[in-house]
Amino acid sequence: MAEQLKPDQSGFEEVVRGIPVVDARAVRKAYETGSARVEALRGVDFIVARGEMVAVIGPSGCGKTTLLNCLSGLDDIDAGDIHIDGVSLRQMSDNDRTDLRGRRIGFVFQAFNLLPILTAEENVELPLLIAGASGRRARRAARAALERVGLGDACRRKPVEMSGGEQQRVAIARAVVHAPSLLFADEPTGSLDSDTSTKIIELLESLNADGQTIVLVTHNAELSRRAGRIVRMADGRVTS
Amino acid sequence: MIPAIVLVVVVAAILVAGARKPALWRLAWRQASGRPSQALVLVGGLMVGSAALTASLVAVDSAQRLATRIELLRWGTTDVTVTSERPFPIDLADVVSADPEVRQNTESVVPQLQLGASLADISTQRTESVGTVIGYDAAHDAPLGDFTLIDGTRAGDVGPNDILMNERAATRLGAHAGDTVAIVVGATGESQSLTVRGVARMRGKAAWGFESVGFVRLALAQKLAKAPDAVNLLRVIAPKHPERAVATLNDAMAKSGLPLRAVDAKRQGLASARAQTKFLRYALIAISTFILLAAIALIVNLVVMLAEERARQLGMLRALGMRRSSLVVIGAMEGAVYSVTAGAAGAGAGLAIGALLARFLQNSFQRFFLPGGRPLPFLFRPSLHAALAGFTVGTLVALFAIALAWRRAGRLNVTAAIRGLAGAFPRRRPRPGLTTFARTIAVMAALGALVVPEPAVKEAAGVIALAVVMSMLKNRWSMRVRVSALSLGIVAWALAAAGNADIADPRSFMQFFVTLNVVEVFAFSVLVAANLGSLERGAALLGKRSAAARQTLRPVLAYLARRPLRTGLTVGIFGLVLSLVTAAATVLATDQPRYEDDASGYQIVATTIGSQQADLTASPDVEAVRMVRFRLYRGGVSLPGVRAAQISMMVYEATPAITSLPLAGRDPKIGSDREAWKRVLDGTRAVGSLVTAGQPLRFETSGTRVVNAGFLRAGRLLYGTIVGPDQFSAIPGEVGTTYLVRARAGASAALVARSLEKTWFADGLDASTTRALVDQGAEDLRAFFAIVQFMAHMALAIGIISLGIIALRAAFERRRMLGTLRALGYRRRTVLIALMIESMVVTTAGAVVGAGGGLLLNRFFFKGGFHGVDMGLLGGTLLLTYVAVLLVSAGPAIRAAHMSPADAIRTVD
Ligand SMILES: Nc1ncnc2c1ncn2[C@@H]1O[C@H](COP(=O)(O)OP(=O)(O)OP(=O)(O)O)[C@@H](O)[C@H]1O
Ligand SMILES: [Mg+2]
Repeated sequence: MAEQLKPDQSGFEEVVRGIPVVDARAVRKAYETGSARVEALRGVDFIVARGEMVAVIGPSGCGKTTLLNCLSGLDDIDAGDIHIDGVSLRQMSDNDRTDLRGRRIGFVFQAFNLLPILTAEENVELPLLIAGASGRRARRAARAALERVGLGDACRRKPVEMSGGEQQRVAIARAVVHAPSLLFADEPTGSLDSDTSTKIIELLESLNADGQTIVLVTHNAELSRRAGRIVRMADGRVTS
Repeated sequence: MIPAIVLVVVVAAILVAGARKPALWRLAWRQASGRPSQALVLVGGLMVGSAALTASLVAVDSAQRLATRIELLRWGTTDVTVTSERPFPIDLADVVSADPEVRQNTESVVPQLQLGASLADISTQRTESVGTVIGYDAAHDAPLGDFTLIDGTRAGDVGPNDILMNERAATRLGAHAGDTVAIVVGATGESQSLTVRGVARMRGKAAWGFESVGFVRLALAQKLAKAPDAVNLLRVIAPKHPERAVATLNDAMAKSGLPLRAVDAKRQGLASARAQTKFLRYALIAISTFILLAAIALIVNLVVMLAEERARQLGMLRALGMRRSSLVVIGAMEGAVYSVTAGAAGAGAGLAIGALLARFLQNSFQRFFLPGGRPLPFLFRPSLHAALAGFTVGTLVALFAIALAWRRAGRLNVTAAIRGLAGAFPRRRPRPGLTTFARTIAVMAALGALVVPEPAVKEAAGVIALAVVMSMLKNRWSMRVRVSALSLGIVAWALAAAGNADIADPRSFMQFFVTLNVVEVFAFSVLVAANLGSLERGAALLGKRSAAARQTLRPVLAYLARRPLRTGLTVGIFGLVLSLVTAAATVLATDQPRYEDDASGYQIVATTIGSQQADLTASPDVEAVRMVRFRLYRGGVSLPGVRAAQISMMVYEATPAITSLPLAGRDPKIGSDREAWKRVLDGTRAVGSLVTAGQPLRFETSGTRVVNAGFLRAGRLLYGTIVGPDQFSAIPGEVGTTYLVRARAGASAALVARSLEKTWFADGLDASTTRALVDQGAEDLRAFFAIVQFMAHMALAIGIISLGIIALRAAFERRRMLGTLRALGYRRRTVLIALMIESMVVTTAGAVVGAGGGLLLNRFFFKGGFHGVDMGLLGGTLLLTYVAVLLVSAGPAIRAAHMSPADAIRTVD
């Protein structure tokens, strides 16, 4: 199973070992809705080293989700630059960024965002299948990932038949099934009770212990305490 | 053929794309099959196009088959005919048929003597004043075969005092074997009583022209015609090379000094049968186009709805590493699954509906050719060709519509979609250079098209030009003002175009009519969609008065107003369907009997054949009589698009007796009825049926050409063509008289008609009440229009189903919002009423666009031919629409209202 979580490209880690996984400089991002303009990010510098677990905290609306969206290439940025594993997002085409997400980035969303039409197992296989893996390999990896999050026996269930905590664990399994070098988690415990939250926190910690780089956004004091490093944001800027 | 290839290529491409990425297939398949009820709804919507098209094609195929069959029945084994007004010696006929060239190119030449005559059955007291008597000679006739009687027996010769009726004549007279029938030959006034030998089926030589014919011995006919040893008709059997037969016959006749010409009658008949079904073909295709367009609007609506509902999922797939192109591929795959299924199901349903349509057609053919007679063969065949065509085109249209709507998915804004924001599908920003280029091209194309004579093209060109002008005003006027001005401009343009339309060719006529209607509906729908905001503001004003009203209306109107595309499409669907119904109601209005107008004050119409004229004023019940001479023309008639069909038609002489009768549908180039009649008397124009106003008509036998000036309002009274005196004497045919009778006040028209018939029975006088004639005409039309009505209702059913589907989806999609409203304290009833009001608003907008706009358009388009609308149909349809929409949308609304708020909010999407 540990083998499954290693990146596909052999020798890759040696090459990039010295380079930060995330290297964002002076990132600016504004939203325009009609006449109103919201500066969500006002020059953010953000660096994450390999194997780190970083918690981003800050008041609601300060731009945490926006930051994660920009770092993962889901959103375009207005100024500054972001390098993932040493490659500039700005210089990539939409398809390149999409493929980067498919291979090297895992994402846990603020809402669980599972596909209701698919079973847990099928949801988890999805990133591998999108990246072109064979059905058999995808199924094996999905089982392993679900086992890892403690849902080995829930493979065939559909999201509607699961509790919030279970859905979130499926979402985490889906985010790590393709052994991404980087995992973004936007409030992974946001809508969960404290017991379930603890389970999720432990899960993330164990992933991190296995070498997974994790950037998470949280309001959960417990979770941020367990992170290796805390980054505070306020009003579109990193404050410490 | 081309659509089939395109379909195969498209589906193959999708399959290949899918084969390379099985994961996409699975997603597509799951999306399609995951929610069976939703899939059913979609497939139902997609089916519509194929069903309508298949049904129309099947119906037209059957009509053509039937028309061809009747044409074949009409001519039997006769391929070529030679007719002459003046009889010629039978010896000459024998000489001609013995000519070696003629013998080589024909199988046989059969001489007969054909006479215009009245037939009166003494036993039933019924008359056929404009009938035909054919004298034949069993020895010469052998090649044409025997008669087949309706009792199944065969008959060759008849006795010297016998007459053999064909079925049509027998039906008209109510004649049976053994009855005594009096015939009066028009040309000589000679009469004779005969015994009905039997009734012959309408096939082979008995069907002659599908007219009322009595067959007698040649010698008797010659005696009555005072033409001993003469004939005036040659029926030629030459199935292999009719054109060579015509040529050699003409040579041989010229050699023998016969000033006659042979006519390739059967082939001309078949060609004209095909031409006659053309109008029906284009009418049905036009209706299918309406339905197809409504279906496209429905599909786009559904797909847009679906895409919006799935935005979050799609965004997530993109976040997980799926490329834009893959997203589109998934959409295409799912679309292919749906549209292929729907195409097949639609083609199947279309075959069934087509069978029904074919029945309608059958009825109208029966009425026309053999009213009251034995049923004509039912020629419906579920043709594979029609089903395939319907399947292919329907599937392609569905795929195209899906692709059109799904293109938006490619522009998905991932983060907005995941956050569930409204901006998940951003508008594409046009590139300035490209826009200018596109505008230039559009303007040039529009200007070019404006000079193309094809009216449909011209219409489209005007629309494009207007759109370009409006897009250039971008920076001056707001979007709403520009769009509103554009749509109003388009409507004005369409009305102007309608007012100037003057088209005879059925194809262009239909194309133009459809284009105008579609353009009008489109423009009005856009106008409505652009101004939905005012609805919201209007509701706000209303809300100032009543909090309850505001509470109910706000969410609904906001929902409609914020989705102009979808609301506009829904209004468009209803608009299209209702404009079709309105067109049908307009056309149907022409078949409403208007006894006053249609009879022009006469109660009875009587006819006699022959030059003798009866003095009907001798009857005490008759107040006044107008006599009109007619000729029974038999021969070729050329109209635009139909060359030289062999028909028989009454040609009336225009005299002051009738030139005061009011006209309908007058050629717009002629200022008044008086002027039109003046031109008829001059000999340049004619009044009458067969062609529309402004179209020429040529009598081949005499080479007389007249241009139609319009129709008699009382068209049924003088059914045929009215020409000036010079033309009348030039056109050959037996003479007869039509009497327009004004009965004494208080007398029963029906009784007076009977008594006139009795008094002048010996003259073969045939009298009917004008009321009966008008009713008859209305019924004939109705039989034909039944099919139009049926199609209109089918379209309506589709419209209602569409709204039902949309209502269902709208409620489904808003479960979360409705749940929230309920949680906030909205009552069940308020939610219910709000949803119902929403449906009503959309339906009303559609009704205004479709029925109101359609009426306006038809008034301009049909000009003089516009007789208002059949309020029964239109009003009934509107009522039905509202009731049905209420019923259909009640289900989803009730479900939505009764959903527990907790469930509604928890819904995962
Ligand atoms: N699509 C959008 N359009 C307009 N404004 C947006 C959009 N997305 C976010 N914003 C604005 O940008 C700012 C930052 O939003 P963001 O979602 O990043 O905050 P956040 O720190 O994640 O807040 P929370 O802790 O509540 O999730 C907010 O003021 C928000 O209103
Ligand atoms: Mg957030």
